[in-house]
Amino acid sequence: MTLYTSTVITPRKPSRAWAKFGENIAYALGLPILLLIIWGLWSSISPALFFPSPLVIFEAFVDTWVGPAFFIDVLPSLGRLAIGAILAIALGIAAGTLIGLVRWLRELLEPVLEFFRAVPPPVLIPIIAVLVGANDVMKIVVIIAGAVWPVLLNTIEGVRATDSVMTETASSFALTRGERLRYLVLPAASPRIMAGVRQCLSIALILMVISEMFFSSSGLGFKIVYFQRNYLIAEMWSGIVLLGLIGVLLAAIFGFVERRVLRWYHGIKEVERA
Amino acid sequence: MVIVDAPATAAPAARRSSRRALRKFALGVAGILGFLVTWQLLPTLGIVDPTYFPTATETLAQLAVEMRDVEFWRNVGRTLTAWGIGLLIATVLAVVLGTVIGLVPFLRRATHTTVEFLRPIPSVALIPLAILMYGYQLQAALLIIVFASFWQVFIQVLYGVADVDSVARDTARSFGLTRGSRIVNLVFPTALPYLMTGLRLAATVALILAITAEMFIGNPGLGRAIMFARDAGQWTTVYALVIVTGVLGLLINLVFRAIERRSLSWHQSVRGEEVL
Amino acid sequence: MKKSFAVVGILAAAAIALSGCTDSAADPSPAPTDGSADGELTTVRVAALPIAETGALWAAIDEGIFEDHGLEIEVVPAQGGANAIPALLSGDIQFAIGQPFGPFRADAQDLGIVIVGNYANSLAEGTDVNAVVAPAGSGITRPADLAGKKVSVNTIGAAGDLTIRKAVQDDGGDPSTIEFVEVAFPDVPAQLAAGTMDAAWAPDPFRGIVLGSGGTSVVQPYQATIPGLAVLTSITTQKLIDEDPDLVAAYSAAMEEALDWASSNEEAVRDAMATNLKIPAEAAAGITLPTFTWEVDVDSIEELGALAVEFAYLAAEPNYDQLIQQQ
Repeated sequence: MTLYTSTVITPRKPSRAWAKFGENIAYALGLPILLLIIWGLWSSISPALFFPSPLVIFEAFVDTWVGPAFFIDVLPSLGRLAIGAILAIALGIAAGTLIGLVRWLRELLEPVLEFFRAVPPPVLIPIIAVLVGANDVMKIVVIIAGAVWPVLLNTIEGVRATDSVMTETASSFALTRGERLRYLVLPAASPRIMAGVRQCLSIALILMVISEMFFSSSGLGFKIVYFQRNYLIAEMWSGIVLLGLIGVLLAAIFGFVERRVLRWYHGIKEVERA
Repeated sequence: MVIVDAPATAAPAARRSSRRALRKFALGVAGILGFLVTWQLLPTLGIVDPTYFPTATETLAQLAVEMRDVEFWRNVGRTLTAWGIGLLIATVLAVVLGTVIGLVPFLRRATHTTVEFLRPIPSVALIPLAILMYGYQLQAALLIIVFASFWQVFIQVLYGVADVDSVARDTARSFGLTRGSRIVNLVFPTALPYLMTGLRLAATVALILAITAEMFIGNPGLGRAIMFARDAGQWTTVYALVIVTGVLGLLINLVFRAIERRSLSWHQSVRGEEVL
Repeated sequence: MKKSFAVVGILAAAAIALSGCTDSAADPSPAPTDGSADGELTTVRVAALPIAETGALWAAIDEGIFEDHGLEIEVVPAQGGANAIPALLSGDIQFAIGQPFGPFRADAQDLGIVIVGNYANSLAEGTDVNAVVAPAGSGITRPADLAGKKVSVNTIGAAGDLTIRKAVQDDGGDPSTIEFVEVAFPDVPAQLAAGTMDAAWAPDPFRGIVLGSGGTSVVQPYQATIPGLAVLTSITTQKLIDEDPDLVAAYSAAMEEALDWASSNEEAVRDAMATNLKIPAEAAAGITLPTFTWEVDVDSIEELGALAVEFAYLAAEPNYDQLIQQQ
């Protein structure tokens, strides 16, 4: 039997940080680049009228949106989207909290709310246009009219389902109504509220586009329809791409906000799952 | 040991809960009535212009007229056809792609960014493209419907396939089940509730987009009927049809919720507890 | 027992209800006259806007003129002229009745869209078929007053705003200060009253509604710039002309006869308008009818094209030989 008395030196593995980084990038960009290449090759081999090559679209993108159109069309669109979404969220949370807490109010309004939620929002556009006028206010009202429902209904559900043990603890600690709202009800409901906000954002984006496509003379949606009418296919595609980027941006912002607001919730779920 | 007189308290408890249910029903009906009365009053009192905002009675009367019109039912049929076909195509595609991608970790990683970029694109942005490619035909509407509904089901299937209980998976492997058998007996049942949730979400989205496509592309259906009524200034018809779309949406929601609940009934997470 | 009663009751109620069923899409025309050609009728899909001018087509179909030429016309109601051309290209419809500007743009991209004949022209004198109207008390009385105002047209970048610009310029105003907004014709009375815009370009019956509530007719842009300009033309694809020249010939002959007949049968046209647009007969009686003719006034179309280039709507004039092939 031999006693190892000398220190065992294990060779240090070379740092794999760069390799990992490269691997992640490859996964992230691999498929998109491959798809773009296939699309590019296909359109050069057999050009389809309505599917120009990605390079043409990229050129059109830079030409169209990097310039005055950004300020005339894109920023106002985003502005309306932001205002509409924020108002929808505020209204949804405020009304939802009230309705969720007052039981008879909830039972009174539930059937009516369920019906309104089921009406497809674009159907309300002609009605709102004729009642409010075909202007910015109309577009914001349309966005709110469609986007408020997920937030409202999810808030009601979330507020309703406050854990009874916690409620009783709060009353035995003699918390005031306001304190209970702020420290118990809303935080407990926040996972469901955030789920509603996520749906709200995607609906708001859809309604922003539609309200501009057909009842407007400026804006991102209008521009895409304008390009279609003039058969400027590459520019039309560049508009679609821009909308996709805006959607990704919205999802990213939302993800960031959600992770911070629901830090405690994700933590609990991780512990539960482990 | 004393037996608590459970039967004596059961009856009052049952009466209490049935009273509660009655109260809930009564309040719900009161809510609907209140809404109808408000609707009736707004144009009558002139708060909104009655030309563009007819009263509830006028609208409901027009709705009755519409329901005796065969063309109305044809439009309902057309909308539901577009909805159904679009939902079917989206579901089949999503189940196939979702299962394949979900089961192969390499594919999951590789497709992640593509999915996250394509998913938020509002499918209404594709309306101009659909018009260019297909004109007024059904395919134009299907393009929009399928694109949006696909993601709902796809994401859910991905979650479902990934949610396979690791203990069950190892058990299956140690029992020597073949890959195919594992998929059928292990993956599918786990993913089924997720698929049903995705189906419910997709059904709602598909209806919204079917009607939107009809409104703005112009293929036949309820949406187009609404636009024509608007053009002709027949606002009672417009509002009547809007109510119909709401009822359709409600029905679809109820039906798919029921399907989802039945498929969830055996699921482990649900068996012991109340379904929300 | 109770359940089956309920089922029977529901079925009975349904049967009674169904017996009173109407069909609003049923063809209001009488059965085909015996003037139809022997053999089968070819179905032809034609896109037309649900507007007053389409009355001539409806009336002619009811009269059986198209059947005489072996054609069964299926009128596809279009929700906006812009979508008709993609529908033509995808083969969904064979012909479209639309304003000439759409083909201009299509021709600029060499898409193979052809104007095979006319349909309706505006009137060279008197009350024209459309006009720019302003509400009462707006202070807008002449074209130059439109400078710096918001004017609505149904489609931006087409003959409407183009001729309005020219009319304003001719009257001494600066057309570049006009802000054009897009408002569909049926919405004009409501939106004008709501103040969405200062003035609106609209045809009858919407023009009539605004004038009836005290509005003023500011200018009749077609008459002021290119009198007798084509309002609507008959459009199809080069592909159809090449692949099925017989169909195009039959349609052209039928259309020519139909438009001829419509010009001398105003009453029938107005009746068709009232039925199909679901407007009351008095409203139909007050509509100013265009001139229905099959002959394309190539000069006026070329003037429109030149105007389009002058105001930078198009980069270059269309290739008229390729674009207009009068059948």
